[in-house]
Amino acid sequence: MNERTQQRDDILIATLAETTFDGWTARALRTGAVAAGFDAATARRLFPGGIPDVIDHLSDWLDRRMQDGLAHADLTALRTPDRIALAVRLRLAALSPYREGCRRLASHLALPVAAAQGLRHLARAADAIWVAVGDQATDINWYSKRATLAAVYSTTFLFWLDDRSEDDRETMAFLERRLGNAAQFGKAARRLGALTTLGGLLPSPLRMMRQVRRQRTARPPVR
Amino acid sequence: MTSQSETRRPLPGDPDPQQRLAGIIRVDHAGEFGAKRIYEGQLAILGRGRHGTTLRHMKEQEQVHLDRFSALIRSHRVRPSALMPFWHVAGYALGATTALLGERAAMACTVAVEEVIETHYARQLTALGDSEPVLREDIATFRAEEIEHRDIGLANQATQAPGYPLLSAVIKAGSRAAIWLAERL
Repeated sequence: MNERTQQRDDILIATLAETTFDGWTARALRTGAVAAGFDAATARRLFPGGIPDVIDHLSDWLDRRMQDGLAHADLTALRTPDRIALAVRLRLAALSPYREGCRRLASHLALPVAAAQGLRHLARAADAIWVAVGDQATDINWYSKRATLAAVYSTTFLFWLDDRSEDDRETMAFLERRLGNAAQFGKAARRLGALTTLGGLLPSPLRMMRQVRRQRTARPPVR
Repeated sequence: MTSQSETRRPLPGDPDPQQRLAGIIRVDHAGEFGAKRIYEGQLAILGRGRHGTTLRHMKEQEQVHLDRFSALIRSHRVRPSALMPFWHVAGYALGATTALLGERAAMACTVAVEEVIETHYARQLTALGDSEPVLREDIATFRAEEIEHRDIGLANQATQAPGYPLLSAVIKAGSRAAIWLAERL
């Protein structure tokens, strides 16, 4: 990690604490920079775009925290849903001292001006989690996997904001249930694909012709 | 220097090198997948005919190309083409339809598609310039194999297919449209 990333991390963490009071505003960034031991000019140099840049860096920081945590875990012993649960837990654990700041972030990203960034943030998180747990998809599943996980991750995040239980046990139970739903959904989709022509017939319309040909050859020759 | 498009300075709004590389990997992955599906479609009809071995050989080479680009998609974290299900069906349908028109039409399809892919790879090689030496080497190898496929097609009387000029023009236009789409979606 280079020096600049380290400085950005320091300012980000101090700003996260400040957003509890100020929300995601330029003032929170200024106060946070001073609290981390930098002057306002350095903060402007490191985050030229202001708060949107800080939020982008938050994504980056969370991805790194998750990767560090996963590097210490034995992933081969875990099934995919458990790996995902672990990745989500690592992200939320990194944020848990700043839960109020996260609540302010959720309301900030719900504003029309920041909505696009919010979606990008979510898409990036879903992608980072799938990559971190070793996803290999290069077809349409690439999209369906990320879409499903984005739904699970965002709802879990909102649940976590109000979770007062010890060690976020309630959130983890919620996450398990949502991952269970996702697995059921995948199973149902596969069954549906096998039933309808979409999965069974479309790629091979020739299967039908083979049937016709077979019937024709089975018929006794006409005299 | 050479032609204008090769030496043109980047303009505002042009994709940056990272995005351009992602686009190259995406379109090539989708293209090799489509090519594999075309040969699968042809094999479903002509698999037991006299061209079966040739078609299987070409399909296996496309599979190698596809595996290489799949690996790049994973390692570079590139989004695959959103139209993968469409390429799945369209490639197979093109292969099967031309094969139903006859062996020569199937070879004409191969010639048309491989010609478009070959020019497309040549353009990518110029666009990459000196960057990405490993990827460039791969593309150069793949391009040589696509040219080989085209020559196989020509050697198997592709130009004698019924309505060859029309067939070839339609398939070429379709392939170019597919490249345009896969670069973006």
